[in-house]
Amino acid sequence: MTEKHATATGLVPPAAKSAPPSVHAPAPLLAKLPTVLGLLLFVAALAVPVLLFADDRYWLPIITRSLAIAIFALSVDLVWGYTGLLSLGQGLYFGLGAYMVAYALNLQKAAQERGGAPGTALTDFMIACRVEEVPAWMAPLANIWLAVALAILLPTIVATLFGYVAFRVRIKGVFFSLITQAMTLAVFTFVVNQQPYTGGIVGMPGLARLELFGHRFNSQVEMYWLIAGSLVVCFALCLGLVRSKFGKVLTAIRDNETRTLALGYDTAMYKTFVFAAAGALAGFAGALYTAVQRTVGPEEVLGIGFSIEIVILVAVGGRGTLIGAVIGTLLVMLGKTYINNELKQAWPIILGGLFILVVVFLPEGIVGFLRHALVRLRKLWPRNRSLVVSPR
Amino acid sequence: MIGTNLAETLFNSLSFSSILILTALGLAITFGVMRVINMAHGEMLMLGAYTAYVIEDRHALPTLVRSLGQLFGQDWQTSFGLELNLFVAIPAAFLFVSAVGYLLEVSLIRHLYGRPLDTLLATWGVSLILQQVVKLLFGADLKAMHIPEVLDNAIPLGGFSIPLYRVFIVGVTALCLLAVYLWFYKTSFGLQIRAVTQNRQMAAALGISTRRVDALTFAFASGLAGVAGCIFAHLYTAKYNMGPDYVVEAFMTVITGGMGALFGSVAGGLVIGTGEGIVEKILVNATMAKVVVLLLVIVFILFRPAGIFAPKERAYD
Repeated sequence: MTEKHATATGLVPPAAKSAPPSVHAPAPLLAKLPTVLGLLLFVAALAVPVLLFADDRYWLPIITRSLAIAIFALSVDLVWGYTGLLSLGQGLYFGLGAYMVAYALNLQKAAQERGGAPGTALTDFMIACRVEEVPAWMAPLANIWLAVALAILLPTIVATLFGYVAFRVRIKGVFFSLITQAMTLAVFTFVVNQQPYTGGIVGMPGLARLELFGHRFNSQVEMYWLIAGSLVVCFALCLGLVRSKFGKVLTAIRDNETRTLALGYDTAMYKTFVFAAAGALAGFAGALYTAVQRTVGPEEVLGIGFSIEIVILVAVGGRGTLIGAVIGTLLVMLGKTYINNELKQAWPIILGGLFILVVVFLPEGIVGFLRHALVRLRKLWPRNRSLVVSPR
Repeated sequence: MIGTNLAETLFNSLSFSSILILTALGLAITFGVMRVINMAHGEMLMLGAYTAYVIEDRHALPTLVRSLGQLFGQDWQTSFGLELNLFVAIPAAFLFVSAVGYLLEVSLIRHLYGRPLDTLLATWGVSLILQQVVKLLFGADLKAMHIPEVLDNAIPLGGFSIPLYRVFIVGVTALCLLAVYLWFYKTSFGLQIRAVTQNRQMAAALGISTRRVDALTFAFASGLAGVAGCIFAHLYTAKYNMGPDYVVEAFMTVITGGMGALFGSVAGGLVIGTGEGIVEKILVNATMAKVVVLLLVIVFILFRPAGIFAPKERAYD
């Protein structure tokens, strides 16, 4: 099975440095039409919740939050679905991003409440811990742009360093999963323990509203458009990545790494790059999530449970398909909210059952299942009947 | 003073190590030898702890019966509750959790052999379900248990005193290790386990029922986790979500020790436990000591993925 996949990706050995890169002829515009149409449909679908729930103070925030999580799911899908690296520690990068923006919004809130320039006013958790003044490293974070930049940069740096070492020594499979999980646990424990600087187990509740270019995001609809727009951009970027030759190499690594290595690809570098890119994406998602949620806590973003839950969101939608990650996230997150309203205690059991059911019965997720069903239908019913030549 | 400090650090290290080894022992069998990723290992500990709760606390059975009644919409009441002690709870936990482990292997894990990442996700699902079921049945509060009077003492030793219960834990760990050693290397069933893990097809061809061996080994390993949980419930407390706290450390212990080598985990536990003892002495803050040691372990694994006792393999997956 793995061999079939590796050939299906149509990989060729990397071209010699002097030879022109003539592997892919530029696709004619017409061939890109389905992609463009699909993206347009995607954007149109994103407009639906606003039309339906514009005045809904309950569901619109939940959908907005789910879209931020969907960006995070894209990052897990890049690493797991496309490259076959099951990271149980993506929450670490998400959490880094979330905390950076949380610092910014918390310092701004403190400045609004207690007066003084942002970055000098003490926040609630500092007062609770009797910290005398804002630490020098934290004060500049009051600038939202610096915070957002760090929310993307910091995860990228950590992921690059970690990925570089881990992939060089050829750690993969379950070992990779367990080590990433241990990393997350270490950071989680650290954050909980360092209450004077992180807010401890409570985190930072009741943050200020996001303010960009002097514009304050007061309404939920504005926030929704910010997140939905970000999702479209991230989705398009990921699509470009996985459709490129680079993406093909990633899929090849997933299906048969030894063979890809033998073809001359430096798989460790490819894996490091995709891990770093996913880290950046996760950090960005975390930044957005904090802006929507206006609260951050270690349990929610750094807990080991959260990181695994994201994996199952991707698995439900369909690993290795970007749209699957988005669909899975929305379905599970909205389902969770609905069930939590109806039967408060049942959700963990249903989620646990979902883990088992998807793994055992639906390993390719909803999108994968539909795709297979479509292929089977086509076989039953040849598309171009006129071309079927009857024997004379 | 230095002598006291040294003795205290040494004993703390031994105590941490024995706790780690006890936690990881079951995992050393399922993960290290059978190569099954059981993320519900922590819940096996939790079930062991709750077995102890049911056996030792008079209020446990009435709560259980009432909650069961509520689930089925009935009004069930009983005032009967067990009030036995730790020494009954340990074998009971072993038996009960073994049974749960057996069921888990037969119903789910058996169908996922050869798919480690899928096993990981599915067993995480199992752990979520077990946690929630226990929470529904017994409530979300901490369950504290009493240490038997015989063990509720301390041995004064110069400048500090050693809690007797910690010594007891070291003893139980040693006993469990001995049992595993005898079972694996001195019985014919142990021979079968080793044969199956070395070459499954060949073992099957020689007439060993590999399914039976898998299921019973898994059950035994789960039972060991149950014993560990029962012991820890008395050291700390029992809670429905106590499992994940243990499981990450347990996996790190097994990996540090080296996969495949059953007693590598012992070395792993000793190294990590000693590290915690020493770092805690330096940092004072026990939580930060855990963080530092965990990071050190990660760095160690990154640079020596084979662990302390490296089996002869090339790729670690």
